[in-house]
Amino acid sequence: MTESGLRSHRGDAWLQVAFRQRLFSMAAIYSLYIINKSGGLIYYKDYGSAGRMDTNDSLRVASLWHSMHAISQQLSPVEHCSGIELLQADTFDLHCYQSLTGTKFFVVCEPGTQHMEGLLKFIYELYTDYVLKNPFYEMEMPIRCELFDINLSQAVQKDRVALLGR
Amino acid sequence: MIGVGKIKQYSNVLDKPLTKGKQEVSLSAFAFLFSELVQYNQTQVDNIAELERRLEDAGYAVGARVLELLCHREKGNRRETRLLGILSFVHSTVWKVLFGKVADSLEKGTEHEDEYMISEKELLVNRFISIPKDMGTFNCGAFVAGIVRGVLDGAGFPAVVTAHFVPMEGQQRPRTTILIKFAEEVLLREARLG
Repeated sequence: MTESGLRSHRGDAWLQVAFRQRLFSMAAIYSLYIINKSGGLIYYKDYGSAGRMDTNDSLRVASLWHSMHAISQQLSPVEHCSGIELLQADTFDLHCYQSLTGTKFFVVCEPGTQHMEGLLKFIYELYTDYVLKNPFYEMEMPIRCELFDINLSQAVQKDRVALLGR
Repeated sequence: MIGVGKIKQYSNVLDKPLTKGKQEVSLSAFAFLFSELVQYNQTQVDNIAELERRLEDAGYAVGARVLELLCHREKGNRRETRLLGILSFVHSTVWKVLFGKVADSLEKGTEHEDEYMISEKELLVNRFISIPKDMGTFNCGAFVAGIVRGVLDGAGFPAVVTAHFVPMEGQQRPRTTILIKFAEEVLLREARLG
């Protein structure tokens, strides 16, 4: 390899590292949870470093959210209320999507992050494709499907890149 | 609707032309059906080799019927009698009818004279399937291998057909290779035909 070629190669690598660091520092989504209809956590994924949790904590958050969601349905003055869709706090937003079968998908993200409903719907789509059509998946059990992981990380990555472009 | 009431009445069902029919079915419907097929067979077996065999048998029945149908519909009631002819028939005609595209590649095995391989980057039946780690090298493509075996057997080319995952360089997912190992008599006959 020529001297100049080497330099440009190094430059590329540096750019890539910088790009990746920027992606993580701008991580819009902190974490993703999927809970089954009885409130058990069946999928948990952490993105970025903020608010990292151990397994017990994530299980606790999941069942807590499940109960809060159910209570909010009962308390709401609106008839046929479908439960909390968005919880806004000082340090995070929590967007929730409940499918017709009672499976709940929710993301914890940076305050003010846009287009999370779309992302949640897309994640639901991935779930119906790569989890429910997989003969080796047992309903209501933790999700361990390689294809789901691959497609999910692609979707989240795409969402981040789109965010950078904005 | 255009053409309603203009359908020609045939007194004899055998005079009716064999239409191609609708070419596509819902992928989701197929995926769920196939998933159920795998799950049902899983309850009937106690080891993975047995499951593979059952899926292959299910495919064999499809293959035998597909050969009959396609020889009639696409080939004017003729069927291939030569080895390369039947292989390209499987690779293109059969694949196109079943999966809507020709297979990605058809190759001759480098080590053995009697082996051929049909490779597919993403086999349709495996589109939504992730194999659990504890099932090792099991591949639901066994069903497709069964189809291929059904076609070949029906056409007079007995063979052992198996499906394998083959890791690809620079690719996250392995591709599926359908390995066809022809019976000795097939190669002897082929040599005689010259």
